[in-house]
Amino acid sequence: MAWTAIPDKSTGDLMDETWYDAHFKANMEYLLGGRPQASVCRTGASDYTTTSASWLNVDAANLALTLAIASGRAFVIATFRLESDNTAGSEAEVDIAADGARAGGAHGLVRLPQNQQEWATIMALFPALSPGNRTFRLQYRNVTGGAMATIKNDGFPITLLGWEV
Amino acid sequence: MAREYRIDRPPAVNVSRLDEELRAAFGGGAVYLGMALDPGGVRVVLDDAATEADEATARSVTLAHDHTRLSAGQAQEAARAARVAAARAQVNAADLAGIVADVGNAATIPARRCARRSRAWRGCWAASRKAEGYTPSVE
Repeated sequence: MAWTAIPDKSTGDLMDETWYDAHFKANMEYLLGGRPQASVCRTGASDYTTTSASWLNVDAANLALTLAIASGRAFVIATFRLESDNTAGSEAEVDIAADGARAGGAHGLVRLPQNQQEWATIMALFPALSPGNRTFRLQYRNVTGGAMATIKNDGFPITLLGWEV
Repeated sequence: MAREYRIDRPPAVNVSRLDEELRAAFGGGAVYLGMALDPGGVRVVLDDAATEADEATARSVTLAHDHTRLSAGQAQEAARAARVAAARAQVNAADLAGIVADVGNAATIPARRCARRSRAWRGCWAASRKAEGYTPSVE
């Protein structure tokens, strides 16, 4: 099921069964229950850790959602347990990216200070996506290179869900 | 911009130590940006300007990594823990029972307290008399 663009009509244009089925019925069904949505809930046997001060995907293969976007907008939520190590200046940050473009600012959508561990929920509205397949991934880093940012997954679930809006 | 290189190696990795080794191998320059450990293995993150030689360096350091060796920070923490354990052992070995028995001796402690207070009082009294111009008496 996909969205079908509705053409402008002019006075005297025929709105027959074919038009009705394609542009009204199918689109209404799409809006009611056919809009793209996807979710991932992953619990593994080891954690995700980085010492990188540059943003990188947490797990490009397993923590990713692909939605066929028609409206140009998507809403994505992620929940996870985040840890920053005890290195001086350690600040763990996490963000959500659409095809590599992060939603958050310089410090992402959540930032955890040195030597802390917390559950986090982050969410992002992507208001100007190009229609088509868009892939959303969790990204992380530590602002201090060499310090560690860890997203717990050894027995801790990571959830990522998103849908077109 | 950054590029990631996945390097297959045994999953046992001391992240702190491997990061330290990679930083040392790249001389703390701008080429090495960090690393990541995930269920798929190790990813080394290098700057876009990284050369094939840089990639080879990252690979050889990662493959040679010994996860049983500690990083500088971990070694420091281990030394501190050892000092704490030694101090704890010393306290445990001391005759605390004897000290506690002494403190608990109700017959002697009040007497010691009185003696201390008495000496303190005599000292104060002598000092005040001296300040007023009297010659302190000798008791």
